[in-house]
Amino acid sequence: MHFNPHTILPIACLIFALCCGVFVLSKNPKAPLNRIFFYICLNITAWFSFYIPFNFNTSESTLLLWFRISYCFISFLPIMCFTFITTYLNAPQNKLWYQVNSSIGIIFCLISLFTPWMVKGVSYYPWHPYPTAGITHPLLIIHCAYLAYFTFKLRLDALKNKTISTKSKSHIKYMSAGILVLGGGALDFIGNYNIPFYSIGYISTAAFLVIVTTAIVKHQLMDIEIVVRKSLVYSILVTLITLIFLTLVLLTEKLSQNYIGYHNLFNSITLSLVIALIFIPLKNKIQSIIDKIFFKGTQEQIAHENAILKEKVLQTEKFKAIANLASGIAHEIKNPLTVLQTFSEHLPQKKDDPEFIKTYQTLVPKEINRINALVQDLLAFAKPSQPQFETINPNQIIKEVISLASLQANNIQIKQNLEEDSTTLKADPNQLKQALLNIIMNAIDAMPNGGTLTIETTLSSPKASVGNPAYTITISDTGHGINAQDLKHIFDPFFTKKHNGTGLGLSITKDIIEKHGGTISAESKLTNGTEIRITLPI
Amino acid sequence: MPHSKKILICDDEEGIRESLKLILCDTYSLIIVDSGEQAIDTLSKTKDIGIVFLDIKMPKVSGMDILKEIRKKHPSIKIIMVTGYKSVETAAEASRLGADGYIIKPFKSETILETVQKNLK
Repeated sequence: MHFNPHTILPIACLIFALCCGVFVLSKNPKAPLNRIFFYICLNITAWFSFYIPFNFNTSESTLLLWFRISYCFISFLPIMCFTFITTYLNAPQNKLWYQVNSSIGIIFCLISLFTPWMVKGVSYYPWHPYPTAGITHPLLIIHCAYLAYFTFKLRLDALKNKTISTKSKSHIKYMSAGILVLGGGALDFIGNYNIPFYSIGYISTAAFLVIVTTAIVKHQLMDIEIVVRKSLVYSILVTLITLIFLTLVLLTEKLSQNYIGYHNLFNSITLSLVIALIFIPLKNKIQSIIDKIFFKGTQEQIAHENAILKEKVLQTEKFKAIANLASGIAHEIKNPLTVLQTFSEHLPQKKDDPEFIKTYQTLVPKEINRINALVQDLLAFAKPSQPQFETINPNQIIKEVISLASLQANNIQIKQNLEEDSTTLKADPNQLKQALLNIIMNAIDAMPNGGTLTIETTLSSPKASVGNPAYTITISDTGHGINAQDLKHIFDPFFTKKHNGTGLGLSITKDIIEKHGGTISAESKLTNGTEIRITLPI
Repeated sequence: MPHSKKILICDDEEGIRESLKLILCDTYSLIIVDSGEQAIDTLSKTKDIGIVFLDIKMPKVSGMDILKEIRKKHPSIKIIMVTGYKSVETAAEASRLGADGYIIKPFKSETILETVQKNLK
């Protein structure tokens, strides 16, 4: 093996590209953007693999074959980057245009592999061998430039769109910066024309990978404006430091060649170790200086903007909830109002009709009570009182609730399987009773022809569970059950399948449990009954 | 003398059933049910039903599904949807499924009577 120090960074970039691709894909394997980025990283990995044979005594024919194979991957990189940008911008994708450009990539790939027209030979530079351009090589460059032009045209069109948000504009600038930086790798084409130009494409490629990986994974919800500036400045920094490192390596090799002997690995490794040791502290120091000079208040700005964004999201959710609530209120109140309106309209003519009076006396008070109950539930829902916490014995609360509910539980067997009586927890006893009563009454309503209501409690100890100890109450019935579609909505306000329910009971229950720091969940299958599980912290 | 055609009232709310009964019982023969399944069953067994008042929001099976079912089997029966939701989308959907009218709660007695007279011509 013949170690070539000029391959260290390109091979590091190869490994970095593979890691970035896998990392981004693992974050969201189903997202098209993540998948395309992974393929781009695979492509870059394959491309940079041509640096590997420089460390071995590889024959010219093998080198040529290796270069030709790597050009197969380079042929597809421009169309992949273009696809990446169009996917990112959600731009319309002209199928024919894609087919044509992909076909051009395939043609270049075949030319590279089977003919000398893309890579006709090997040029030997002091740092490492390099592919020599064939007659079709300029066409590849033109194809890259052509796609780069369309990429930036798409970007300009997207930025001109007045309907897109400032945040999206920042995202687009960020991605464009990434692609522009990658384009810096095109300088490597100079070396293909027998001009001894030291290839630094891996530096711009590494910067591109950093920018895009960060954009996809970390900065999706932040204002990217600041990150764009930061990343570009840091990329330039990394480039400068790397260039300094390269210069030092070259100088050391020259000195070694003159005084010690060229094949002295020790100098290169020592220098690499020194640079590696000082690189991170040096980078951090420069970063903090740049932060102070250019990005003063950056973290505060980002935190402030995040807070504004969060508030806007909460406000939108609030308005949506209010709209749903208003719609639900309107609907629930209209039925009782219909009854009151109709009966009051007919009262003058029918006041002497005993049957009318009997129906009037049955229905009208009932509907008035219904409106009143709705108002009470709404108040409890809209302005829930803060829980007054005290130490309670949950078993005692459950027994009281069961005793209340059993008055209405005709033909229903109630089974209790409660944890030891010594357990206590902090809760508002009245609110907890209300929450449990809502659930138990629903269970009873689900069993009009009788059934079994089971209430169980379990205590998870700190050893048995991950996290804090918890007290779990499970209430299950053998009623008609709830279908999967409705199950998703049972905790939504005004959602009810009952004749006489307001649809607010479980919403209020959920609110109470959550204010106690607990969780509530439901499982059910049609005709198999329902199970509601409440977990409260101890 | 009651009209020759009968009116079927289908609503899960007792108050709405009684309200419609109060408005219509003096002039029309009424059949009152409290679920969509009963409505379909009644329509298959009883002739001379001219109009169905059908609530949209009912437990188990919604009024829209019952509307579809009735329309398939009884194309000539007039179906009037009764609902508390005032929305263009729901009205359009009901019309698309074959409803002949749409009444919003709370309704006036005159509105109900006019709707019946218009549809039983």
